[in-house]
Amino acid sequence: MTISYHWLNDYLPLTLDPEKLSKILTSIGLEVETLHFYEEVPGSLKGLVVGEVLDAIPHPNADKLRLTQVDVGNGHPLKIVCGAPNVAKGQKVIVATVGTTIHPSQGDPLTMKVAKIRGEESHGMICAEDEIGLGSSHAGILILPADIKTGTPVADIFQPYTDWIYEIGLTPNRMDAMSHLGVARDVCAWLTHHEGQPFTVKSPFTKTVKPDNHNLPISVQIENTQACGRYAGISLSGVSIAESPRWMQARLKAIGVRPINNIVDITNYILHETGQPLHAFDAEKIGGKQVIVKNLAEGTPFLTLDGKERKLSADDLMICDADKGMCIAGVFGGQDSGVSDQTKDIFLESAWFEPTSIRKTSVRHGLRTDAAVRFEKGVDISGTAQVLERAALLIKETAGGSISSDLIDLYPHPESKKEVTLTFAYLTKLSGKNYQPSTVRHILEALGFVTLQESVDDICVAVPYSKPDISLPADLVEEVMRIDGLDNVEIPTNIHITPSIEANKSAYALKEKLASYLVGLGFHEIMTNSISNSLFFEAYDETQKVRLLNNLSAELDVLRPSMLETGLEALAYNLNRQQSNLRLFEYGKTYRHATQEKGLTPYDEREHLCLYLTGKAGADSWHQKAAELDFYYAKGVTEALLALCGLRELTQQPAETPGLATQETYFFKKEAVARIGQVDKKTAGRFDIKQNVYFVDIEWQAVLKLYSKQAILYKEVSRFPAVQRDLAMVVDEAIPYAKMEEVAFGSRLKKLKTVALFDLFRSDKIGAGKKSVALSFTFQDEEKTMTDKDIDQMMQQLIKAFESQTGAEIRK
Amino acid sequence: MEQVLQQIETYKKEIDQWVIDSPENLETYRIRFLGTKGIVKGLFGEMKQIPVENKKAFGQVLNDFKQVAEAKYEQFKGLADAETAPSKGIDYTLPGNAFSLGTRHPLSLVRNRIISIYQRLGFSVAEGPEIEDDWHNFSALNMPENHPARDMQDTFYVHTNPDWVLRTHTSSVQARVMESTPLPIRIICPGRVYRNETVSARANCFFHQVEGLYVDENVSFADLKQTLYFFVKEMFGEGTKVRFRPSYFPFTEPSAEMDISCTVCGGKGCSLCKHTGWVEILGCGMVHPHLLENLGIDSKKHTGFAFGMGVERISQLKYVVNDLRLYAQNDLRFLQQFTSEV
Repeated sequence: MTISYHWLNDYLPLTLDPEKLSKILTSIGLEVETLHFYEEVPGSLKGLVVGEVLDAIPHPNADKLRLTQVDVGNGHPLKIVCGAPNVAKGQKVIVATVGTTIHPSQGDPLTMKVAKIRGEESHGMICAEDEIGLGSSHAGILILPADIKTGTPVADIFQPYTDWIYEIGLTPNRMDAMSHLGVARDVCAWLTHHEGQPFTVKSPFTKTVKPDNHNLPISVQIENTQACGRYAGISLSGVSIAESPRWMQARLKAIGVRPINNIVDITNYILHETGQPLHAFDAEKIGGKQVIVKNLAEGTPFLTLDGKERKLSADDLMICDADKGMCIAGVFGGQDSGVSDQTKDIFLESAWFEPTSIRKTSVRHGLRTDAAVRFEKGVDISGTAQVLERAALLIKETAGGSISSDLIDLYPHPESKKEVTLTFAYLTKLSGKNYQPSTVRHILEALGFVTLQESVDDICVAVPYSKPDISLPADLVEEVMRIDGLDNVEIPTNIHITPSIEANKSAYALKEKLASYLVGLGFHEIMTNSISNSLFFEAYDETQKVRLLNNLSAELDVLRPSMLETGLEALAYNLNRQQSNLRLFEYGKTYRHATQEKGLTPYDEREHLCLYLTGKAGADSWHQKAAELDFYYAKGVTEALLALCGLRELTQQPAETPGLATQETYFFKKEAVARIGQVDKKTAGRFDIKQNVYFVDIEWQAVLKLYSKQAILYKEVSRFPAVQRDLAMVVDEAIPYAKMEEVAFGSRLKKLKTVALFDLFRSDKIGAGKKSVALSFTFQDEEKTMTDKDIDQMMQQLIKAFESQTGAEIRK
Repeated sequence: MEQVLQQIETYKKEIDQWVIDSPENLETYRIRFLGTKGIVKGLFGEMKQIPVENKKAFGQVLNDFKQVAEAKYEQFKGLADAETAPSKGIDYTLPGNAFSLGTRHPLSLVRNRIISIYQRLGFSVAEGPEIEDDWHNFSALNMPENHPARDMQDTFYVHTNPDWVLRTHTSSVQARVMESTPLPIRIICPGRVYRNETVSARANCFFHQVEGLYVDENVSFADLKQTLYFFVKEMFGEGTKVRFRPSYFPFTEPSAEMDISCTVCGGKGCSLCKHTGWVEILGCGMVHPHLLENLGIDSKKHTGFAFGMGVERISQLKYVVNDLRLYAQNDLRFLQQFTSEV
């Protein structure tokens, strides 16, 4: 909302400095987003003076230029080169002397300097209107009336309007302040409280209207009194449509409203003065001289002011004459009933329409007009008639004509004011400050509340109609607090805490622990948009996809069913910027429709920890080569992460999910906890990625659930030494490593603690289709030190098991 | 005996003056004093010649001497294993092993910082779903259908009738907690939220919030101010100035917005603060009585405060990141600037 400083001052009982006013406005909840100095004419003609052309002779070196001598009133005529065809001796002209900054209507400001034009010096410029922001014509220099005194500042002649303009970020609950008068009322309440003496607004409603004649009676009838609570109207005849007065145009322009003609400008002026939207009809076009407020049949066509034909809903409230609709009530006028240049007689409307009805109509037709926005927030129903009086008088004053009917004011069911009781104890409890009961009363009364009853414990007030948002004691607390100032609530010295129990204690900490580990390894955390492009997810079940009904664009139309693709986008972004070694991770969610079960939400959001790997683990250096990021790197990191959550001894199975070429799912006690795979060529190609990419997807909820079941109990450390033995053997290629571990632990040797693979190779010597596997075993006895004999025996058992179950040939 | 004692004093001096600077040297010392035929052993051999009445005193002297001899050896024994290779010829200016430095995302850093500050004030973390029903995102929060405040937010819908939306604020978590948890409640709710806005430097369709809620008997606006004041000082430093100004949110009454002195210019006026000296940091207020009642809490007995802030906004103020899109771009050259942040 835009507020003019000068305009506001019309209603304030004292003049405040613009900056101070700005601070007051912000402190009472009318946040000044910007305060700027407004100039109707940029630069306000500053420095320009009236000069008299003493002489104008042709320029010796240019046909179209003249050499002039111009007196600017200081007794030292200036030599100025002028290119205007109309310059002549004896004229009074506008002169920009050297050092003056001029602000052309188009282009940047320019500071005058002594210039040499075709060999002749020029000490300033004789100005055309477009050169100083006074208009758009460049036909020639502006010639002033001859009687103006030479040397007069040009600003004194044109008196360009200047103002301070406040852009206020008005919150939707403050419809009472949606006008200059409303803002002034709030400022007066602040002054009353903080200056310790009553300040009231200077009311513009000073005169009452008396009809000059009864030549233009128009009857008004409200059929739908639900949607139209009050309707006032008055007719004026013989008005002349013309430009509105300059002061009014200047003010309207200053707050960003384009002047149109005197009638439209006055309705706009009154709107910004009082907050009450008005509508002016061409009275000649009102059929049967009847105004009926009612709804029309569903589907009735109606031509609105913008030239569009709209189909009305049966719920749209209309202002009709005897035959047809004239205006969508409170929202938008009709093309045929409005004021035009030919209008002589007008019917002026001021009304109160029900907010919800207005909102629905306005949204239905996409007509978010200024009037609609105000009606739907709720205008002051007590002001309907007096605002109309003010408008009618202003029209008569500026557009002539006469008031040709009584003021009609239909208010079928006047509603009494809301009453709210505020207990002082509640005020103290909510605010944390002890306000004096008299302070509370003074503030509320200054804001327009009427005290109905007051006791030592509470105060009961009637709420002004201008504040429909107020209905609860808490609302009154806000009114008191904002006028007193929120910064005047003292901060207690002791802090008062009632801690609450954390529902999911370890979740947050565990996430942080893993993140720190990954960062320690050199991973970068990323955050990608969970709204993604459905084209990435064609391979996923359509019925499970969560699509946006009102998507921003085709590229952002679905909640991702998988974490892979958005991560690939991040990889691709960096790969395209010369970063070829990437290790990224993200904590994020995937979304899908869940199978509908009663009482459960129909959506399934799953949290994941995902890793995206490509290239090498860092850069190669002279001293060490960086590890290639491959499946085993991904697997190793995953195992480490899961081990940090207490999940060891995983089992694995090949898996098949979209986007991955080779992949394995990892289980902890039959619960799937992670998936590792290499991104397939087609998917990587979609993101223009040519390098191998590995992807790890850890099911966070599953991990968290398993983690929370764990409890650490100290186990005594064995006092006896562990013994390590190695064994190398040749087995068929077809035997997977998992089988080797299975055989070792399947031998049921209680003392065998760990099995580790420390070498794996293939060679011609071993033969095709064979591989050499070297395992290292650790034995530990909790009760005694093992002898060589004990260990040999166990090794023999293992050898036999390998030979019989894997066909291994032991290498000696 | 007198003579032996004198001898011991001489040995002590010798030990004291002996310079051990090489393994060879060390070994000579060991053999001379501590070897099987060394001086210490030899002196202990003298013991039997000492008269009984002096044995105790002599034993004492001998033990002391042994300790002196051994102490010197212990001090230098590391020399025995020392590399003998000369240190010359090694270029110590060659680069050390290159450890890759990973990074947390700046939004994680800021969120964690926010959480840790409130945790110190006894707030616990609560989370909730991002796809939310109309009740928890709007209606329960005093934003019934047709409420003008719904205009303030452009909402993504995934289903209509019944309505399911992408939550527009983490206040939905507050609603869920109030509905299900016995009082008192003292929580912060971090999470991702969505708004149907065209992506630009100043708006993104998803961002992150941390909201706080405290409901108990006798919670006041003064308590709210205190909590937020503490937060600001911890987050932005002791000298940060704070102002509260009345505002409007459907969930709170009274409502306020908190500004802090500009983090760039300190209040002098710059482009970040639009030359006002103040920057907006969060919205807050006393939980609206309707909201408490909607969620089954007696608003006459209980009061509460709530506040909400954007993680991106705090990050913008802290690191002067001027384009919101950077957060989702995940450019390593951006992320790596936060390597040293905690």
